[in-house]
Amino acid sequence: MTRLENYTKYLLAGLTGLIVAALYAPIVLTIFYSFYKSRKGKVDWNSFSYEPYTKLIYERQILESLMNSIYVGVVTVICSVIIGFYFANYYHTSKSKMKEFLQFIIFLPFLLPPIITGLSLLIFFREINLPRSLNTVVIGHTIFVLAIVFKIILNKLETLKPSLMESAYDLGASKWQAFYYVLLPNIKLSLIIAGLLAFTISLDETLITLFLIGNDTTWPIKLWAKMRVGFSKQVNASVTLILILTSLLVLLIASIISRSEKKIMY
Amino acid sequence: MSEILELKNISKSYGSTTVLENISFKINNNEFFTILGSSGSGKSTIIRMIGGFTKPSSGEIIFANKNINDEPIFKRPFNTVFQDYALFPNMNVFDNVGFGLKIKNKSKEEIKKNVLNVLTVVGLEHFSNRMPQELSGGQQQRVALARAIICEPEIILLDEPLGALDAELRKQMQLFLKEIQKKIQISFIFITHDQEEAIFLSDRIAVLNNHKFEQIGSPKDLYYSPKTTYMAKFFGECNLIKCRVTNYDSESIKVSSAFGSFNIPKNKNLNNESEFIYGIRPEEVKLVRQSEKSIKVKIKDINFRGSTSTINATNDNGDSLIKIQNISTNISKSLSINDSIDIEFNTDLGSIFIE
Amino acid sequence: MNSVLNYFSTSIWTIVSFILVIFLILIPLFSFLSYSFFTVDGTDIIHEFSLFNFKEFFIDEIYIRTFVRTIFLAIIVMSCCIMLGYPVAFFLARYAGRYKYVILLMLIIPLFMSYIIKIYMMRSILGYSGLINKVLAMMGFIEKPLEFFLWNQNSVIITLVVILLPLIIIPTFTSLDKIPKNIVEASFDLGCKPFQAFRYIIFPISFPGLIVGSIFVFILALGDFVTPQLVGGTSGFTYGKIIYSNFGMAFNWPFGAALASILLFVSVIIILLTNYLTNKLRT
Repeated sequence: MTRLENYTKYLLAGLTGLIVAALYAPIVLTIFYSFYKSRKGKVDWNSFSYEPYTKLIYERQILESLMNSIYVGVVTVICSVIIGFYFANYYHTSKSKMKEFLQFIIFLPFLLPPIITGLSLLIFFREINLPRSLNTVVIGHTIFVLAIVFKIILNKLETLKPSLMESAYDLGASKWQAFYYVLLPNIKLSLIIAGLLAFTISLDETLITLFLIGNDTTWPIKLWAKMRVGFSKQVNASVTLILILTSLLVLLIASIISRSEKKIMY
Repeated sequence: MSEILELKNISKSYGSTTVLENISFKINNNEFFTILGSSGSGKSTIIRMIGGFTKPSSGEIIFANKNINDEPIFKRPFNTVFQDYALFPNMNVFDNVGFGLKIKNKSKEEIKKNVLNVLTVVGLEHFSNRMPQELSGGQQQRVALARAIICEPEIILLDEPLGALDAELRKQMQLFLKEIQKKIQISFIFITHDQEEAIFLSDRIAVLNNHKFEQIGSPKDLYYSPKTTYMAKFFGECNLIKCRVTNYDSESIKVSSAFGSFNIPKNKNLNNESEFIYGIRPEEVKLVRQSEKSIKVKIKDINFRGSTSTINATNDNGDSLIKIQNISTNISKSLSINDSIDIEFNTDLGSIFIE
Repeated sequence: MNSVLNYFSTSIWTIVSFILVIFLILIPLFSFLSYSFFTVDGTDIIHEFSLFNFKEFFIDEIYIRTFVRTIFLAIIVMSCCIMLGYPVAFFLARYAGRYKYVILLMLIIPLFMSYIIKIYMMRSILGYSGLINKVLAMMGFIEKPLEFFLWNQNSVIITLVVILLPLIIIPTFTSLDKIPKNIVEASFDLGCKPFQAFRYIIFPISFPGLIVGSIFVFILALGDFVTPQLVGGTSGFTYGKIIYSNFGMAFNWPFGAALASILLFVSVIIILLTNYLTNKLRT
């Protein structure tokens, strides 16, 4: 390594450090303000307290929105993994030319600006007289994450040898048996990764949700509404808890991926 | 022939792991020099040091009377053909081959002329617009070679370039490499683990074992005058017989062994009572009529190999084994297991290893 | 029985899933596009073909001006992300050694962390009494707090860069990480100095990954309406915000749809154009 290259290396390392700091600054601040008070931009260092966390149980609105978010996330995972698996399997086994078209359509909501996906569904639901509710949010989230779920499962299916299913049939398995005993165990991990990722994205989806939400709000939308009046420390506490949950989910996904040593993500 | 490159007492270690220990050799002009060793023996490290990709822990690399240890890669007049070719995936064949000249700021016309020339030499003149991914292994190999040749380096370093090819293609490429080396008159340093390949291609071979060179020499030297028992067994097969000198006189030396006693030509490294290992290749053991010089052995098994056969025989006690090769099947037909036969060594071609 | 339960190749299932996709993706897109040709009367939407909305867009120059400004904003955000993200991805792939995946993970995690909170917190970082001003004042660089950062275009740009940066790092890192070590060695071997190796080999090979990330960043920056709402103030007005306001208080869905369809049209053009240029550049 030349000396110039050494300098470059340290320069880049410094930049990387700064960027990590910049990306985490908003998050660290939130956690900080859930423990400390500040008045007119001055931090009161003696005000440490974890009271906001215990007071959180009295914040019905926040808790309700959290439960709504989890409900939406879980239903989104179920729908998107089932539909995503179906399409991935169809894409993998079919020889029809329609499948390229299908893939293109599935990818549209993921590639287009979220605002387009959101308002398309909004207009569509109005035309068919479907009132906005958590269920319309589920539909929005499902078609948004479908492309990622589809791609993760498809990548896994493409690593399997065609002889795998053929030998199952050869040994007398029915299609359901071949699916349950042979295919499912082999793609289980990719389904879990896809599901966790879908849940993580759904938990924080804001732009599409803003168009589709009814009277019951999800957690990000509650934050959006609360922001006008400013955040209470309980809100900061709820944010901290969700941040921990999200980080754990991402770490879980990463550890599953690295353990199966398949770099499927992106 | 003049020397162009010298490696002097080169050692290389990573932490506490020694890869090379005190390696020295010289490369002559227009020579096909092969470094032969098993995988993990550190043979690639040698040419990576010459190419400048790693630095020796100690020792000197001398080119044109100058120590080039600290010369950066891009200033060294050597080019490498990598094991898996390392063609640039973002360029077609023409740009890959012309890359070295482009970096040297040669004019477009000159690059074009030279690339087409070199592509003709390697037989790929119709492939200049192809992308590397669209070529077969052998073709990629040729592009990698062309890319090195065009820079007119003093030495081309080839890091197991034929390793990834199948047997048939490998043979073709060996022939191709040998011809091209003669044609372009550039020294090749070639790395391989394949003995046949080394013998077929090389002017000289250096055999690497246990981080050191066992022996450097022409293929014939290595075969007929191995310096160590390792070398004797490394190329082909060799019977190694423990011997002791019983009678040392001015004309010949009489030795005794598990097979009885026989005479070997004069050798100044031996004296009375000295013990040594005698190496004799199976094809230099002859079946003879019984005489006072011959040795009696018992046949253990006979292996039919077509026009010739191989015999494994033992001494009387059955505790030492000797292999005899190239026996006409006509003769071996008349023999059967447990027969006694008489043999004689072609002692002009035997080797003496003093331990 | 078997033919009904057959979990693939069964025509019923195929038809059902196709219908699902067509209903939930294609038909909504279609109805949104057709809405852009409708008009509004009070709270009623008049389902009749009309070019009124598009005329409005071209007549009132505030829309075109905002649109052009938003495109510029997205280009600036994208350029900042490239200039910051590429060196980071390069560092990870080439110098971070065994820590590269750990650092990459650290860069990915914020991507999934509350979007709203990140934007909101940027206020307490960029604001008049925010973190940056405090640090600068503490270090003695400034006497009065800078107002350069909040409630304007700059704050929108900075916030979007912080939010979208991981999106460019991930694909760029992936394409850089895939470059075999010996290809770089080969370029040195053929006479490249380090910068030439970067210019002729490393950069061109990583370019497609960079483009994928850039398009993502560009599209998301172009369509964002939450960030300008929260940190943009009055001058940080963007096109997305106008679209969104037509679906909120203004309640002129057809006009909002028309504005959005122009956004869609331009996005598609840009994606196709980039795709075409990348392919052309490669050959």
